[in-house]
Amino acid sequence: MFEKMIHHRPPWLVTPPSTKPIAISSRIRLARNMSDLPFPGRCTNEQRSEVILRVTKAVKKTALLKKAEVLKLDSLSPIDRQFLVERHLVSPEFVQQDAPAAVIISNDETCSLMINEEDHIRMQVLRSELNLEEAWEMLNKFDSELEKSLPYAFSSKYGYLTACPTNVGTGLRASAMLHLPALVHEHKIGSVMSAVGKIGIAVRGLYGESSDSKGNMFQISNQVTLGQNEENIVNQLHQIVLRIIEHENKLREALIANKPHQIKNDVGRAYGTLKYAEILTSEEATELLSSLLIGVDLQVFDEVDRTIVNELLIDIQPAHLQKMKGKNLTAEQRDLYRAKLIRTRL
Amino acid sequence: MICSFCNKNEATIHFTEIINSKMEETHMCEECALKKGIETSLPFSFGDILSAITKGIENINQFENEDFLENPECLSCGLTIKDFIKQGRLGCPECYEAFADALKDIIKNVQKSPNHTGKSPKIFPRPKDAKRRIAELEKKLNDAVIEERYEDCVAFRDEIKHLKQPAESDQNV
Ligand SMILES: [Zn+2]
Ligand SMILES: [Zn+2]
Repeated sequence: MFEKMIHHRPPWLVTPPSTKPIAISSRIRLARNMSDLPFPGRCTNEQRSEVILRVTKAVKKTALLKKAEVLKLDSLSPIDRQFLVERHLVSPEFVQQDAPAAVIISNDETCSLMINEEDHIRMQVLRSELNLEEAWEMLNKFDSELEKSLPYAFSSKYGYLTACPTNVGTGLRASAMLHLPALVHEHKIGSVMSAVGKIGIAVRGLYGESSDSKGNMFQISNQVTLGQNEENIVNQLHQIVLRIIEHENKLREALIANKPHQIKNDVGRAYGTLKYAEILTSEEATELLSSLLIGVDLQVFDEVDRTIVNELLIDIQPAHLQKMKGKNLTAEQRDLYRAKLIRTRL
Repeated sequence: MICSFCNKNEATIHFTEIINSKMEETHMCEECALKKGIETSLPFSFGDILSAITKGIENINQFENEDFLENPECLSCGLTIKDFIKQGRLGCPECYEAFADALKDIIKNVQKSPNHTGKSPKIFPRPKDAKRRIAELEKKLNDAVIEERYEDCVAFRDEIKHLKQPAESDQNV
């Protein structure tokens, strides 16, 4: 499974060469629980194993995941676990636990399902670019198949019951990953966060360890899960993402009109560093790759293919590097190998 | 206005937080907002909100002595309201009823409306479970009528109605 994943690009990462998407990917996630067992946090290990058994059996009857591989968490090495997190297939919280848990991943990585995260079931569909409705359609169908063989915890008042009341109701979290360099450059991210926050939409940085979002990547997602139906939630987020994209595009046009030399200079320097550096930390590399994306998107730089940059953003992460190299690497070794990988690919 | 987290930068983000079940305005700078967004899975997580509720209680001893925090507990999984506040997570599906009062406020504050309007399972629930549940609800409805809890009456009645004709109420509006 991992062998194949290392050498294949997940489809959600692949965009046609002609498009220059600000929205990199879209995701829909649903939370579901069994009606007759405590939530995972209060389950005994026996009960958790029972959940794994039931869910894997039910999943085998679905069209989408019947052939998918079931990965038990305890069979995964620390690097495998981190690899799945970097790949956006599981949450960091999921892999940090010791109790029985499992993940089921479709062959093309479009659909995955965590068993015994905070809820018994957390399932997701990931699509490239802004395709929230398509992702919802796919996941909705899958969920309807699953419910035929699983007694979901559901109340007519509160809807699907979840361990945390912030997920109750639809159990649905829709999110889009956006590349917003112009909004960051012009210090407008704060006002975007504030504006959408008022209507129950959250914006958070991605690929970040410290105080700001490295690589100008942001995740936009709904916070409200109860009182609105699924279509409304998905559609509302879609509309807001379109507005943010429009905002970003306007700022990009202004940037290229007003500061063409500065932009070209930034992009060229980023390329130079990436092409010739001997040592690159993941933070620095992510930042520089984001600058390259800006160059490609603003058509001031055509030395590199967008897909290569997108792929590098995933591949330069620590567990990906170690999987590719086939062994554990220290931080210093990773920085060397990362720089080498980028030099070769560019 | 200055950011209430670092007390340094100009606050550009304003949001409401629930403190002692009251909405309060919080102001923060972009830097702190991003930092908070990265550290938690939600920008202002439910854990934050709950710890905000408990902020009003002056010290932990007082907190420990609050009887209402031990009582009620969920008969099905044994979770107390104190556990719930500490962990920010419920123990089992039945907890939604055991902590109905506390949840009413919280849900009102974090969600759009307290009523589900989305998808429901086609075969919800299995006939056997439905019968047991209807019996339970009828008893609760009775109690609610006697105690004149009209809001609860409506909720119980709705659920019984839903259980008795699942095929019709399945259709989403
Ligand atoms: Zn601050
Ligand atoms: Zn409970």
